[in-house]
Amino acid sequence: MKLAKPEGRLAILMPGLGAVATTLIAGVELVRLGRSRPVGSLTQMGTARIGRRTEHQTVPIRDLVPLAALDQVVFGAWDPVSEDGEAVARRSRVLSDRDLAAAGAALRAVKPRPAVFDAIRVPRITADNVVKASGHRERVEALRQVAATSSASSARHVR
Amino acid sequence: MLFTASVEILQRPPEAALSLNALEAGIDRDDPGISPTMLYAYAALREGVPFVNGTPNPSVELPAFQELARDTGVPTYSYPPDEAPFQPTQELNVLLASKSDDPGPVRNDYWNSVHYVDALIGELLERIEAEKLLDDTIVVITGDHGEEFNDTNDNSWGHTGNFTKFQSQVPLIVYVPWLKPRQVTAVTSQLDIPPTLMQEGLGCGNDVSDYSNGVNLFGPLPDRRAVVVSSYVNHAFILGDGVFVSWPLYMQRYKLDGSKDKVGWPTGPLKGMGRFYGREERH
Repeated sequence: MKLAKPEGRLAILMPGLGAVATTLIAGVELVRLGRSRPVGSLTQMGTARIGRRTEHQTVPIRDLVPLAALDQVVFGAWDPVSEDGEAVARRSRVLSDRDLAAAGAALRAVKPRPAVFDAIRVPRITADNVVKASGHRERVEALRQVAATSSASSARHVR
Repeated sequence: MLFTASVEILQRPPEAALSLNALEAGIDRDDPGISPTMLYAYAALREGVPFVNGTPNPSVELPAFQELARDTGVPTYSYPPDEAPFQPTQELNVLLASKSDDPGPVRNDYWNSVHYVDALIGELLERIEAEKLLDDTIVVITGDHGEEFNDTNDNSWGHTGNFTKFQSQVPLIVYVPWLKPRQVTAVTSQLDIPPTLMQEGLGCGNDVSDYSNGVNLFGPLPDRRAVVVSSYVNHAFILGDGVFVSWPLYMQRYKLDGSKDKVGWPTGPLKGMGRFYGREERH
């Protein structure tokens, strides 16, 4: 397996635009804006030693492995509730008002696509944004369409 | 695709998830056993897009999805099917396993994983040797838990269910190129790894008791000692063939081999633990 330098965008598609997804989107945006540091992220802050210990060569992992940079990341989501990312984040009450204000535009930009949803399996959500399809095959086609479009315009660096 | 949705209710894997052909047929006939997470996973993998669990769901672990991922070139986290000498296999689902289940297929699945990891470790060691680094590299191989296949006949599967030897004993191999190899039968603990590295690798001359409760594995080993083990919810110490589990309000005792005979209270460790509870002794 050869790794080439990633070009273009890296699309992260999330089934479920809830507290977890919106916190991730806001976190990435705050780092991009220089307002936070990605503490705990191996790819962004981790380091690796190369060569022997006595050679004292330690480099960030992101310089060693050709990974997509945060500026290349774009988000998309499916959700059975039609609220945009900012409304969800505000309701979830994970972020401080200050962080919510700073990441507001990035969160607002994520509007969920109609989801594949089954109220029997996830009973506590009132859905208003569900894929209109007559069966599993049509549902799958609707999801594949989004994945294929995003995949074609995305950075692909593993060949 | 990064899965971040609400967790679905637990269900037995449907027949349709057991092979890719069955899954395709199940999607065509609108099989109610196929859940939304499975449809998302199918759509991603069909497009060659990796599917990552951000919130828990078992879909991609099921055989049909592993098969689809291999077909479309998406990395999987299972061993390759052509390197699986132990057959037949079945993925362990701790929540659905029952006492009467045949442990054979899930144990085979585990053995195949171990077999494959062994091969990968071999590749790594060969690479270190080819780079001529093996003469000054210390290699430590161990695990953070054992794996039980209802060996205690108590409907215990996997790990974190109890602290019997099936779940608490792990391999520990320490290779120090400038030291003569030896096998030890004494009870050892992962706590012993730092003192071993400090003394044998980094030349630290301090007394081990200055910084650790462990011992140097290449030095004299105590013939009777209590070792501490822990899981997500509680911890225990093992002394001889006894396991003493410390729950917030009480202690539980059983044998290391899983048998239910209670073992007598050891006085030494209890005396030592007394200081956590503000009393010298607590029986």
